[in-house]
Amino acid sequence: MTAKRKIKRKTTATRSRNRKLQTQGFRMPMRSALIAVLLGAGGIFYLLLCSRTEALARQIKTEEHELEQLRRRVAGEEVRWNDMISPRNLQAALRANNLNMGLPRHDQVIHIRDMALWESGHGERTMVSRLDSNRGGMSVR
Amino acid sequence: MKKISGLRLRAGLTGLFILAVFGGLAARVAHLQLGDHSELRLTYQRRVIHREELKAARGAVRDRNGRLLALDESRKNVGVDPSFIHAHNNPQLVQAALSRFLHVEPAMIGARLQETHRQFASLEQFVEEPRAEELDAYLRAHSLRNGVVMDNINVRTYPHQNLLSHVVGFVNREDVGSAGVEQTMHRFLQSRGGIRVSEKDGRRREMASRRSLQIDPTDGADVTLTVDMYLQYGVEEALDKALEQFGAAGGWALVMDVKTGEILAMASRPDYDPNAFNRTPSENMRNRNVTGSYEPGSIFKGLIFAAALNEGLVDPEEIIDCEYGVWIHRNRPLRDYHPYARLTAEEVLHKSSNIGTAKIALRMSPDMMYGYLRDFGFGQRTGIDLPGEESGIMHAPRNWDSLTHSRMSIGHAVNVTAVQMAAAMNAIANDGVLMRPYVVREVRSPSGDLLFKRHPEEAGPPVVRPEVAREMRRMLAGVTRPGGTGRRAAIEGFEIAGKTGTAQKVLPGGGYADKLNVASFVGFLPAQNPAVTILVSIDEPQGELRTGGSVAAPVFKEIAEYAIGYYGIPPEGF
Repeated sequence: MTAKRKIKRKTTATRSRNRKLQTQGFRMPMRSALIAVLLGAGGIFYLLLCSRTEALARQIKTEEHELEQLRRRVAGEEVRWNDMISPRNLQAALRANNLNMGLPRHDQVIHIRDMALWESGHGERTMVSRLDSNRGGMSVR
Repeated sequence: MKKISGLRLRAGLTGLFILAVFGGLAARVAHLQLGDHSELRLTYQRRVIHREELKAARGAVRDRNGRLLALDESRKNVGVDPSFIHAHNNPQLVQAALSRFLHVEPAMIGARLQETHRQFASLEQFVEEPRAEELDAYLRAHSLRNGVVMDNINVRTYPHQNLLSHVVGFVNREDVGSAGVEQTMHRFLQSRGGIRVSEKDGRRREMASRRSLQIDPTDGADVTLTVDMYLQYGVEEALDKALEQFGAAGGWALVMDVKTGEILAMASRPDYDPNAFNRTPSENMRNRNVTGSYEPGSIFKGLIFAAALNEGLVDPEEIIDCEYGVWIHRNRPLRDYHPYARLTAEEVLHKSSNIGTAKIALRMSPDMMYGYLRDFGFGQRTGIDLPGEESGIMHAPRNWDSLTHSRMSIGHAVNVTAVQMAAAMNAIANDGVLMRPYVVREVRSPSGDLLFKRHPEEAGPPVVRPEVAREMRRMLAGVTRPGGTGRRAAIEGFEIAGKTGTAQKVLPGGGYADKLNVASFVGFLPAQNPAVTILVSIDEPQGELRTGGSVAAPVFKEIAEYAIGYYGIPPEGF
C-alpha cells in the first residue's frame, strides 16, 4: 500500500512539474522558422521590387512623353526659324520696314588675301570652298 | 461525451466546407490552366495585349548651309470619343471649344459628337502643333480634355514650297520618294519604324512595366545638297521675270561651280508646290535641266571651235568666207541670221555665223567631230544624282546623212540636255577638264555620323589642252563685248565669256517652226579665271525679239550679278 501511494504521489508531482515546464501551443523548430522568415522577407522584397518597377515604368512613360514633346517642339522651332530666314520672308521684312537693301556691287567689296597662304597653294581656290571656310582669303564688305 | 462529439462534428463540417471551397477553386484553376481555352486566350490578347508601331521621322533635306528644304513636321490628328464624352464630359462645351480652334464646321463637330455608338470619330487631320497645343491648353484649363483624342503624326513638309521643287522632289502618301532627291536618296532618307508589345490596363492605357518587346525606331539620315537656297531664289526670280516679260512657255537655268561641278542652283519652269503634288500636272514636275532634251543651236558652236582649235585646224586670225549669208552645201542652202562677207575665225564665233562655223567643222572628219562631242559628254548621261536624266540624242557618224555634219556643228541634228550643255561649257572654263555635275553633297545619320560624301569627279581625261581652253575663254569673252551677239550679258568691270543660241524648235511632223524657238545663253565668269558657269534657256519667247542675245543674255546677266554680289566674286576670280 505504501508503494502505491508513493507512486500516485509521484505521478501527481510529475504531472504538476511537467505542467510548469510545458509550453502552450505549437513549438516550431529553428530551421523551419529561419526558412519561414527568409521566405517572408523574400516575399516582401519581391513586393517592394514590383512596386519600384511600376513606379519606374510610370516614370519612363512620363519621360518618354516629355522627350517626344520636346523633340516636336525643337522640330517646330527649327521650322519656324527656317521660315523666318527664307528669302521670301526676308525680302518681305525688308519691304515692310522700308529698307532698300541689295547685294553689294563688286566695286564696293574689298578683297584681302593671305598671299603667303595663297602662293603656297594651300589656300583653297574653288568658290565653294570659300563659301565653306575662309582659307585662302577673305572678303570685307 | 455529448459535448465532445458535437464539437467534433462542427469542426469536421467546417473543415469539410473549407476543403470544398478551396478544392473547388483548385479544380477551377487546374481547369483553366490545363484546359483548351483558345477563345479566352484570344479575348485576352484583344483586350489586354497592346501592340504599337513606333514611327520615326524621315530624314531632312538641307541646302549646303544647313537650311531646311524638306522635313517631317509634327502634326496632330484630332478626334473625339463620343461615347466617353457623353458619359464623362459635357458635349456642348466640348463642341464649342473644338469649334474655336479647328477648321471644321461646328455642325459637323456636333454631328460627330452625337455618334455615341462609336468610340472614335475623326474631326481634323494634320493640325499644326501650335494650334493643337492651344486647343489642348484650352481644354485642360476648362476641364474638357477627357474624350478628346490627339494622335501624333508626321507630315512631310516643304517649307519653301515651289523653291527648288524640281531638285528636292516629293514623297507620295506611302512615304516613298517619288521625284528629285527624295527619290534618288530614298534609301538614306527613309526611317525605320519600331515596335512595342506590352499590356493595357483597365482604362486602355499602355503599361510600361509590362513591355515584353521593344524595338526602337530609327530616324532617317539627313541629306545636304550642293545647292545654295539664297542663290536659288535669285535665279528663280530672274527666270520668272523673263518668263513674264517675254510671255514664254517655260524656261530653265542652272549655276555650276567651275572647279568642282557642284550645282549651286537649278531652276525649271513651269514649277509646282511639292506640298500639293497630288494636284499638280505631271508636265510641271519635269525638271527640264535633266529631262527633256532639245536642239541647242548656236551655243554648241563654242565646242566645235574648241575641238578644231585643239586639232590645230583653225587659227583665230584666219579669214573665213561667209558667203554673204547663203551657202549652198550639198545642194541645200545654209543661211546666216545676218549676212557677212569675210570674217576672222574669232569673229565667226562672236557674230555666230552658221556658215563660218560649218566650214570650220567640215575640216574635221565626222569621226573626229563625233569623238570630241562624246568627250564633251553628249549622247550619254552625266550621271547627276537626279532621277529621269536623259542622255540626249546624238547619232553616230555611220547614221549621218549628207547634211548632218554641217548641221550638227551649228547645234541642230543633235539633242542635248541643259546639264550636258552646261557641263561641256564648264570644261572650257576648267582648262579642258569635264567635271561630273552633282547635287548631293553628303549624308549624315541622326547622330551626326557621315554616311556618304560626294567628292568632285573628273568625267574623263581633259577634252582639250589647257592652252586651248584658255584661248577659247579669250575668244568667248569677245561674244559679250560690243558687236558680239551676247553684249547684253556684259557686266561692267567683269569679263564674261559665253555664247548665245537661238534654236528653232522641231515641229512634230518634221521641219522647223518659224516663230517657235529656244533662246539660250551659256557662259562663265570671270572669263580668264572662272568661278561659276551659268546656263539660261527660255522656251518659246514671244514678241519681235526672241533671240538668245535679246532674251537669255539679260537673264544670264541678272543671275551673274546676283552671284557676284552674293559670293563676292572679284573681277580677276579667286
